[in-house]
Amino acid sequence: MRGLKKWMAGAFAALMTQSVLAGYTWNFPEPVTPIARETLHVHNLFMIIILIIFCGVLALMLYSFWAHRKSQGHQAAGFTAPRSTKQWLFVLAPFAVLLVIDYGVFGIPAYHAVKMYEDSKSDAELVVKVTGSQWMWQYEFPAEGVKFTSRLTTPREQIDNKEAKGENYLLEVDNPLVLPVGKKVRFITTSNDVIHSWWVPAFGVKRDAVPGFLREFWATVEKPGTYRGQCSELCGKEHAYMPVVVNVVPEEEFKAWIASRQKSGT
Amino acid sequence: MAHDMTHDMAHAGHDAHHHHGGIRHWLQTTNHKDIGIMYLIFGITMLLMGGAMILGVRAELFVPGLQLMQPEFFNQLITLHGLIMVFGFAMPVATGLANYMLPMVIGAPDMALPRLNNWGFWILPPAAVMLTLPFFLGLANIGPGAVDTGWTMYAPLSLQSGWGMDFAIFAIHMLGVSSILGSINVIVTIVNMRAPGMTFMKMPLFAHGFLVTAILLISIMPVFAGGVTMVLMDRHFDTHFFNAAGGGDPVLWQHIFWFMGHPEVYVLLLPITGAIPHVLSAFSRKETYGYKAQVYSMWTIGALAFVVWAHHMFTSGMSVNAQMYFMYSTMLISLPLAVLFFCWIATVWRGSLSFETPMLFALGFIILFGWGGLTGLVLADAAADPQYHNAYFMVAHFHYALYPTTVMGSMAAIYYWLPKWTGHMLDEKLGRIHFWIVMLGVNLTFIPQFLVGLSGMPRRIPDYPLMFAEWNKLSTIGAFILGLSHLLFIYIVLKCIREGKKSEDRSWEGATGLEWTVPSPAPYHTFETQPKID
Amino acid sequence: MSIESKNDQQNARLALKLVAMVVVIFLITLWKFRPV
Repeated sequence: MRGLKKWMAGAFAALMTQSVLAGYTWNFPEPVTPIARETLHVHNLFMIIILIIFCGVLALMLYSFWAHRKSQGHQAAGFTAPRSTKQWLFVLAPFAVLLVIDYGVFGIPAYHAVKMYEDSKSDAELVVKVTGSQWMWQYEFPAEGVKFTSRLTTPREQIDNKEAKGENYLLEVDNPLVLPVGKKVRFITTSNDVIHSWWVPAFGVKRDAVPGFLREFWATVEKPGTYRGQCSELCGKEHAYMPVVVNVVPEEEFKAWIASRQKSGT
Repeated sequence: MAHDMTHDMAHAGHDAHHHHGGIRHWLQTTNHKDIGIMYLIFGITMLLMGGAMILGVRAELFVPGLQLMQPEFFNQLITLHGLIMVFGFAMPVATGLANYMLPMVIGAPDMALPRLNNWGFWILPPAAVMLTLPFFLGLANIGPGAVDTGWTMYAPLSLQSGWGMDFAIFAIHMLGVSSILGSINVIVTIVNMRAPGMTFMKMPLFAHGFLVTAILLISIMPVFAGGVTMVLMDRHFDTHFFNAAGGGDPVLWQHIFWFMGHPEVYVLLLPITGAIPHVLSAFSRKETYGYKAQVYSMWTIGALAFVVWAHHMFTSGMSVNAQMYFMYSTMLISLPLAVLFFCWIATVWRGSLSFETPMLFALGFIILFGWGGLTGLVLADAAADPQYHNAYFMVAHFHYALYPTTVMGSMAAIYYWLPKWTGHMLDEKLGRIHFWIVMLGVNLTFIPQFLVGLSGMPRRIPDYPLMFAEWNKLSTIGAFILGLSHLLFIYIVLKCIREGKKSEDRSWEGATGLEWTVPSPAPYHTFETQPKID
Repeated sequence: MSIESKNDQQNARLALKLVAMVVVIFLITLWKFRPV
């Protein structure tokens, strides 16, 4: 029995790794900001809760389909509403549970999460302005005087199936955004034309870029690395072709990058 | 008096009876059964058209890269898919069910305003042409193609589209007028024409569902009409409702659209919540559980529907207080919905159950729509929603809400009343096969979409990074299976029209309601003398 | 008048009231959202 369990655990682990490598990813990417961690936690908790509710109710229904079949002679009962106090309590209990799940288990952490999500101004150490255009992103560090565009570099031949697709197909740009690790960055978004939306799944943040208006959000990225996302509001024909790429690096590297950008005048 | 339900309106028709076929008959008929049939035929035709569009989409999404079409064309397909399914399929089919069955279940001879009824229907075919003509012209390289902004038509993108957008605006006006006229007819019929003795709290749940639906529609359609008129004016008459440079606001469009759009999803749901209890009760041979609770829940859902719209806009940059309000109010709707689920399951519980095709579809609706509702909970969290919004998790959520409701729920109702309309029982074996193909197709199409959405795939893209490939392939296969199932549905319906075991007045042993007191097929005119209800 | 035409009158009256409500909602929407 122990051997079987070990085998199953091993098979499961192998399947999961295999599925990740094969592209059968099925959950949010590893979270690298406080918000992303909170959201992943909420998501996992909620998926478990709703799976339990779903499977529980489904089991009840399947039991009924089997036990209450006319073909096996079951006679219909006559009740149409709860009658005794005990029955009323029995009926109201699931709704009480739902209320607790909604406004308690879910609602209380959600309150704090929304407050945290929107707290873009306090203790921000860096400001980045993100401007969406058709069909590229423009990044600006207003205080440092750095500004540049970030465009997709995947060759047209790959899109048209004339060449094999590279590993970062549709997720590669000429000038990624570079950010320092561990610093709270305040992002301000706007647009030059239509509504776009800036999203990096690993950061757990998405915000619309609305023409003529400024929106803001924040992120403190806790781990260096290259993070990729895509525009998330239909913005015309190349909506699929304006990715977001962020290189998060140690502070010295970031400072050097800013300096070189300032020197080259962009 | 048998009554012919022929697809081909150009047929000379069977005029052995007091009415005759032919195009003029169908153009001029004010009979609620005739009009109901026309709405149903129109709606199912639109289901196939909207379905063909999305199969084009899914074919392109089978593998990464652009294989079959350019993004400009893709954007037209996804837009028309949404608009056609909501306004061309789901609502007309519901209206068809209402037209045919509402007078019968309340014991009325016809709808309150029969000529208005005819007009309401005949607006639809021209509206469908207006909406899709630019698409077909575009295929022939004439013009810029159809509206291509997604069915949500966000500004200012809508201001950039070609004249396909203007055609769509006029089509929406027409569709809106048709809905409004139909809803007025439903309201007046229910308020004024119930059989004597049938008080509001005695009328079948079918009627309650449609009454709430109709009230929602006449409240939201004028607002939507106002909104698309503003788009038209911004596009052509130099106004700036949605243009910041002129003092307007693109997000205003979102508010107006979703003020219509959210109640709209309950417009799609409530007729089904009205019809399903009839089916469940019949095949459980048991009285509906919690009639009053279900009525109050429908009305509560209708009321709450109006005040939660901005949960579609959490990423647009609204204040903390607004996010909190819309989050908590949205969660509230889960309560009356849970009441409905409880009552449906309690109707079945300890009944004497049989599983004919209508019952299979009704139960499938409960199970799959339940999953759709549960996955909506996590979307209501304003802080987590950004991870789901406009990605495929959200697409899967709303398809689990919409497909089981508008397609499976309607099919349950259609299969249930088909013997009443045609005089024949269904081919149960084929019906069962249809059901299981649907169950396979829905889940194979949409479960991979949950997963690929969580992996980070945005919606409304014709091409995608490599890590999304496997789930997309599976989803496309599921979509084609689901698409084929609709052809089987049509075959089963046509077969039932032509042949089948003769149906009794009471086609199903456990069925209750006034419609089962008249012969099958139902006479052309029923309840010309209204029955007295005690 | 006959019962049928009285019912038709009642139906028509209620319908007209609803149409008026619809038109009012439409006009209010346009007016309230007129840009500054």
